[in-house]
Amino acid sequence: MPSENERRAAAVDALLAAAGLSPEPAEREELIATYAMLKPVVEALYGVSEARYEVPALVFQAAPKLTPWRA
Amino acid sequence: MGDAITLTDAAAALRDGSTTSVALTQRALARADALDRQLGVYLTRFDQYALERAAVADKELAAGVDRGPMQGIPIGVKDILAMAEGPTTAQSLVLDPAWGEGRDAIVVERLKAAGAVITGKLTTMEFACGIPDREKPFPIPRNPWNLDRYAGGSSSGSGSGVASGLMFGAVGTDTAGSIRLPAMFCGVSGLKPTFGRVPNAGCTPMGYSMDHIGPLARSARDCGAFLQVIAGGDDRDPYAVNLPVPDFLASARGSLAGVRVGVVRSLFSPGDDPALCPAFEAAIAVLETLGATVVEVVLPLYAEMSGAAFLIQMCEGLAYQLPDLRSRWADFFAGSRQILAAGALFSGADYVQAQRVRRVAQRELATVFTGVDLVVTPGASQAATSLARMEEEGAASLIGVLHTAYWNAVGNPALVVPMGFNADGLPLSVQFAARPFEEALLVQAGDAYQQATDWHLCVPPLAPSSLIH
Repeated sequence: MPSENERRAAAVDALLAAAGLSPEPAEREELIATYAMLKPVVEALYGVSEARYEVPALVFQAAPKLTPWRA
Repeated sequence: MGDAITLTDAAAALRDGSTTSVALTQRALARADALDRQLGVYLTRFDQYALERAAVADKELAAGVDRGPMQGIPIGVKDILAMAEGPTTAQSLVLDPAWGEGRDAIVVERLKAAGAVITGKLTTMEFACGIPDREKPFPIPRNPWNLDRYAGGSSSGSGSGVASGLMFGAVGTDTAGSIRLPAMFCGVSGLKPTFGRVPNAGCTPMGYSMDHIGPLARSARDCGAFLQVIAGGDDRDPYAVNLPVPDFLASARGSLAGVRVGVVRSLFSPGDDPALCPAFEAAIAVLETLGATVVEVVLPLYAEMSGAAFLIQMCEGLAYQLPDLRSRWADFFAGSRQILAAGALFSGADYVQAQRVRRVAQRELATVFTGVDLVVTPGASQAATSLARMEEEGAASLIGVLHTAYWNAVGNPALVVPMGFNADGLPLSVQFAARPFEEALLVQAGDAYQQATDWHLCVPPLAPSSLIH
């Protein structure tokens, strides 16, 4: 049975690989630590009962602005 | 105690004939010559251009052409905004040099039209995220109050440059606190406007739905004068809001009579700087003497919004940077890589859930603002941290220290102003927040506070003389 740390490390490795990112070993360790810190914070967002039927604060306008700023 | 000259003081001096824009600009450039090797404020300077624009400003003012308080004022622009006179690097090896080449960001267009004298492009954290990286060929921004301390980021050069008198104001950007953090750590004022108040087009993105452009300057009144020029909708920016821009200085009359202030004390913790709570309570007492009615409030979903802000920033930033992260990983700053790659660890559902909770928090916060007009919090729980600690622990060392990201997630405007110093002589700041698009009330409150105190006029020992005499 893998430990919680091993499960986290495996998840981080898989997610980084899926994204096509290849951090150095020390950076991988830091990302595992970040994941361990943020995962409960993100999970807590699903516990906000008032958000159950809420519409996300995404912005999309069907009528585009006509004069884009071009780099 | 304080002897600094503010942006609005300088504007008045230009009009009463006691100085000229050329004189102000020459002095600003001379100070940069003397101090910037230590401070790391500038990435690019436009000395000749600035002196030419200053001469034009003097000529126009002499002819009675008054473009408002930014005319003839030396300012800087964070180097993630495009400006035709020079390259935009985002302090990164990765940004395509052709990005924004020969173009002005909308904010820069507006500052030029107002006659501001832009002296150069200022240091930032790479793409407005992360921490300094000594392995990359860019200056390390330093805090003028103590060169071993972090200037705050990501608008580091903006905060340090204003505090040191290298300029009267500067453009910054704020995705989780990047205007307010350097303002706090460097002891100046910084205003994050309402989301959509200032167009972002022509600025490299960090978190599309939380990026805000705004001013750093010596005083709240200065920030209001600066915001006056850069605020307002524009069809080239889909997020910019086409609302009328009020006179941000109209209600700055030195009083807070009738203003209801909600004080947040729940953010204090045992690890705070020992000077923080006394300085904050003294600031609240000043607000009461100015006529404000003070009650205690709690910010709804505070922890959730702080977490959501970082999740959203990481995911939106990753969307912009992912192709380059895949192909040029080593070219990014180490700190940037950590923040951006973390966006890959969470799902699309997580991102949308954060945006849903964000909507709940906005609504519940609006309820809080039915009972008060302003919310006041400490800006950060610590003064400027050491650069060595930042480099060792990364940006994570600031998690829990900053009380800024909440306001990016909800979009409300927020202003920080200096409120004292800690035992090490480093600045501490108080943060005001208001309802969406009520920046004028923030300026009124900050200005009233600063008429009763002079923390904002204190200058670092490194830079004792003022820009004008």
